[in-house]
Amino acid sequence: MTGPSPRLQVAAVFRKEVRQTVRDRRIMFMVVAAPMVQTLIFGFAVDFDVDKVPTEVVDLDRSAESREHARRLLADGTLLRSGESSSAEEASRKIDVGLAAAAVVMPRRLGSDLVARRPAEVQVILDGTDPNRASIAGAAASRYFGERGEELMRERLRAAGLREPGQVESVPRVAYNPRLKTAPYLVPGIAATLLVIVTTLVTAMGLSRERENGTMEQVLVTPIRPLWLLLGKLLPFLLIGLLDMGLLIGVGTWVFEVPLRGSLLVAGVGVALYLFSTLGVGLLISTVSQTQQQAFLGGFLFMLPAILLSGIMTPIRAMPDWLQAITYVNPVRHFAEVMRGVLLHGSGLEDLWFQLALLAFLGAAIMGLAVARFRTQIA
Amino acid sequence: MTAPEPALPSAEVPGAPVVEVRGLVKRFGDLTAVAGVDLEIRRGEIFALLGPNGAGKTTLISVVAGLLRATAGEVRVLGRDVVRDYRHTRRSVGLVPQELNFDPFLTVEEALRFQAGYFGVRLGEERLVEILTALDLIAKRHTNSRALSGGMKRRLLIGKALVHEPKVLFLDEPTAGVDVELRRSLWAYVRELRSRGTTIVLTTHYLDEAEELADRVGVIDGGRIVVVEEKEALLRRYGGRTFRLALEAPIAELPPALAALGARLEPGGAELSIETSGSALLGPALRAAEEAGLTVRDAETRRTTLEDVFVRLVSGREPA
Repeated sequence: MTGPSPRLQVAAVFRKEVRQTVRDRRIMFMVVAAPMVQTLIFGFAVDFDVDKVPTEVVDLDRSAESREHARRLLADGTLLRSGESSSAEEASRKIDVGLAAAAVVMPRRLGSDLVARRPAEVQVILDGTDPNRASIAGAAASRYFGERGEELMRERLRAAGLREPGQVESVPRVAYNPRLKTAPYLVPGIAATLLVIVTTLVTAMGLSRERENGTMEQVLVTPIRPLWLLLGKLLPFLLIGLLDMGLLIGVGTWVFEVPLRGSLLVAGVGVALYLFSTLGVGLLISTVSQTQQQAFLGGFLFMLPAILLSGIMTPIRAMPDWLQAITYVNPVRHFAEVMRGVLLHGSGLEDLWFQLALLAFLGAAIMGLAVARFRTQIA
Repeated sequence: MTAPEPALPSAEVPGAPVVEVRGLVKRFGDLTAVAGVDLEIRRGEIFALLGPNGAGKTTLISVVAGLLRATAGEVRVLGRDVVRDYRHTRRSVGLVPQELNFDPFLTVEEALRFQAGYFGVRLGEERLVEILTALDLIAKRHTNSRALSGGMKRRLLIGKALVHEPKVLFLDEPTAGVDVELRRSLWAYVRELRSRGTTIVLTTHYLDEAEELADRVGVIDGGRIVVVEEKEALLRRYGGRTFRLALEAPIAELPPALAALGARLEPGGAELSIETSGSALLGPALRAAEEAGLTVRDAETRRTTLEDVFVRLVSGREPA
């Protein structure tokens, strides 16, 4: 008797896994609807741009000059007039209760002091609860009043018949994301996050399903090799991951105007290597889970630190040195860099070979460990 | 000069056993579930493996079927080692597990087709219909497994074990929890499988089932084989008849005269039983009871059953 046909066996495993996955509404929601919805929500809801900071205006001078300064300060949209207060104390109270995040206090005689060329101080009160917002609001106010102060100085020099001093002017040119929008930066990272959810969690749950149902026994009495069993079980989730990636890129470029400057081939290689890792993690989690619920929790425990240490939400360079070293074994980090590189920078293989090599290495190591555990379990 | 023909695996030789177990030991940590078992299953027989709970029946079957690895010893199916040649041995073995389980998202037909695929077999329409018809599942072909009754699920498990036409079929408590009608229909199907050449190994707690179906019986207790013998020979060896005397009032101790005849006081003290190869002891037993002052309310004689033999063997009252 010849051995059983591997082709038939892998096909049976594959088709069974697809059939069960498609008919499991929970899983289908997680692999299709959830990524789309979450991409849209993340893309629209998460915004690192800081503008429209609600700002109280305390105009104690009530002169034409003070009103003009208030108008010009708020003109660029970084600060948004939330109301007017009669004193710094009143403005502070509004900040305390959350009605405002900043206050600009223009003192009495501001206008006349400026006309008489006397020094004047404008107070800016900031809510430091959100340091980023406070920093940007304070910088906007400082920038405006700094520019006004320089203007006044030049006027005085001209009036005195003196030469204006030379100045150094910086001319910023923003590459890759000229409008400094958050979505082009965030969407590639969100794609990395969602692929972890879809492939790691769903794979772990799918593989634990047979153990939970008690049907694993009926698999183990068959002559199928562990490798064919794994191949048949992981292939559907690999295809789902690739499909989801295509959909995410589509949503990203169509809805959020994320550019697509680089090679889709390099992106595809990155996706495949990344999925190698995430599927491996899912397989590994399934080998230590007796139920789908355990698999879900295991996946979640992996996912959270992986995302936090990926540089998607916060820059890796801001982390302590020892933590930065750990991020090198995080496939989410490298994949996010590959996707940003391909989509935003137009990077090619020569630019991303290091990340791709690390993804390949991590994928091989994780999958190798997972396969070894899987084989001992079913041997 | 031509090269000699390679030796056939031992079970290909006519009359060779299909399953050979030598010195099998299986331990789970400190627990020894199987403590050195030697066993042969002959081609085409129905072999009933009996034993109390925890005796090692399921463990033994699991090792042969490939679910567990032996701690020591050797197991062969059709002459091939079940570990080294697992791709061949598992192709020849079918297992119907004790516990009911099912794939909740598959229909009956899908479950059978996919199971066949795992064995590397394409399940043709004719074979599929044959299995469904034999197991009375033809009307449930397209029904989701979740919607099946317990009896239907058990029949589906049998179907899944047969899709690849195994040469040896292990049935682990196949009729546990099923109704009488299904039980009898499964018995008939087992006989039919045997008539087609399938070797059947059956574990059961229903001793009437073993007595009904088995050609040979093996008793395992504490991980060791107590006896393996032809069913009829076993029944003959342990006596042909059992007398039961129902007493008017229960007694605490067996009177010496009755003990000398080999009588046994049943739990509760209201019934005596004596096993004998003939009917000669009935009269002396009645007289001894009367002389001991016991009032016999009822007397019954019946043929010794496998259950009687089993109880005697595992209770230690009789050496094998």
